[in-house]
Amino acid sequence: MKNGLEREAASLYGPLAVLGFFVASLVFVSALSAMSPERYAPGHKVYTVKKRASAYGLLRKLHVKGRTMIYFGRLLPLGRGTALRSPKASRTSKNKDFIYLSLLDNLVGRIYRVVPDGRWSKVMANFAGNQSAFYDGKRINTASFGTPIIVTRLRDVPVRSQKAVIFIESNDVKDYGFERIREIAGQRRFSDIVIVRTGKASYAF
Amino acid sequence: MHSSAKIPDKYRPIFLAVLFLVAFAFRFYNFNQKQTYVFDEMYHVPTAVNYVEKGFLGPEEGYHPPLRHLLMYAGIRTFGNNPYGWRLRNIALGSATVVALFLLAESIFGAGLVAYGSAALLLLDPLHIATSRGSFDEIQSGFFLVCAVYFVFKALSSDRERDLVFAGVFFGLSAATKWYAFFPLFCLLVSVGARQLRRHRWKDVLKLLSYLLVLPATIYLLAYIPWFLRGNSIPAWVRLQRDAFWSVSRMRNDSFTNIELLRPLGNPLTWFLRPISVAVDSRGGSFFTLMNNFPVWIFLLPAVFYLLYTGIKESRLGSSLVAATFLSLYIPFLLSSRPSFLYSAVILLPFCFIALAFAAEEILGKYAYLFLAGALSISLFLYTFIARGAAVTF
Repeated sequence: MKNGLEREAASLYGPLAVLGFFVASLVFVSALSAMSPERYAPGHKVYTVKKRASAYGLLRKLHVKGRTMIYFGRLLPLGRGTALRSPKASRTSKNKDFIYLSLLDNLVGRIYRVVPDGRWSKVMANFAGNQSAFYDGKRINTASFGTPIIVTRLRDVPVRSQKAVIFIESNDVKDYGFERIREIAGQRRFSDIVIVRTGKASYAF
Repeated sequence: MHSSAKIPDKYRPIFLAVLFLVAFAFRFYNFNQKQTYVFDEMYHVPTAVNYVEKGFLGPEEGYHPPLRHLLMYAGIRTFGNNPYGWRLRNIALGSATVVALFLLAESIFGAGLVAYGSAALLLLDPLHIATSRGSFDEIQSGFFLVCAVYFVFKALSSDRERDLVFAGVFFGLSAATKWYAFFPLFCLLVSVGARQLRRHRWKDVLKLLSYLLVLPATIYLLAYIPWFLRGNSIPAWVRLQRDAFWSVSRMRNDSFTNIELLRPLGNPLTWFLRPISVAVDSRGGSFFTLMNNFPVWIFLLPAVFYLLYTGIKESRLGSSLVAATFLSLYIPFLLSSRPSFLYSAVILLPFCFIALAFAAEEILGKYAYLFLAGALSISLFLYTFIARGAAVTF
């Protein structure tokens, strides 16, 4: 026979077991997360591509993984394209779905879409009319396909200890100011891969 | 007084198996007349494969929880990437919901008209059958929710800790499929927790929190294992939940690319008040029809309020629990500015049908059988259209 104190203690075994299960689950998923660290390219290099679609092939070739992309361009092409037809569809990227495929293959795991300072008020006005994203006072936070996509001004891109992949849409460089973009592209501590999509405008980085 | 026709214990498993098989047969018949994707299967199928194999939550938008992807993937791996793989899990879980509903109603009202009637109404309901024949998440989430409420009732009426654990597991599974379960779970925690707090039963509060809050949260978290395998951290998971909540709660009509298709599917105010029917995907000459069962559904809201009224007046735990579960699910639909369409009503149906069978028996007495026979005849008539893939428009 158990005495009163033992019964008291025994009645808490269940809640304690659940609490233990919860803590073990947190440790478990953290360990899973740590098993898949970001992968970087050696050094620092600027790549030039003619089509956006080629950026996907380039990132695959460089064997990067889970990277943060800082995107300079007016439009972020998030088209799902061929992906809707079949999950086994070919991995041939189209211009409009190269971001989608880069996310799908976990080449890119987070995107900061940089809005030029001059356009920020317009972006905020659109946001105010359709607040389907979280505004934290500096940045507009959204998630597409479980991946964070953060709309921000350049000055509000958080300082990171890890290097980022930078994508620059040449046609839109004038919106940001060429000198500023060139300065960012040239900083070795900031990025390992800079992809410049050449358009009608031709800039030398 | 409720009628009783208790099945002898030795025949009980056979009865439950037959109930499941009959429900399965109605849902299975001609389900694969559409060999192409139906409704949102074009998103659900590739997302399930992407999620399990790559931890990626697209091409869906990715804001609903991912247990449904694991279930879909299990179906695809078992039966192939074809209509069997895409839809059999819903056919099975939709049929299992009928059995779970019978058990819930039986445990509250005994083996009588309420139990048999509510199970039969769900078994033949045209919307429940149609959504069981597609990849709608409401079927899976609804099944887990009915099981959760069943165990909650058992736990509250018998004080058995084991039942509370099962309730927590099923609430977790339901919420990890779609967020509906959070509303009744929250109401349950607040109402029962407050009662225990008033009585200074601290240990019971602790048990309640661990089984109905921590345990479901753990199951919910574990459904994201493939997503964590991509290298995402726990803070990133918290941000994902925040962003998903923000997106879902602030969606408007123009957030849906197929709004022209969805608009005729009504809104929560009209689900039970007017006939609704939409026939879609006419490829191959057959249609996929989503509709309510207006001649039967028109009685559902009054029946729920009657159930609530008698539950409160006569202090009946089971009646109050069923009515409160319905209201905790339905009121957020009414208050939310986010559009909700007819197929979401599937999550409400099990609780409505208990209320309808109960009200019929209480109010109509011996004529309740006639009423239910009429309701089931109408359901059967509408079923013939769904099974044939014929378009029904009101």
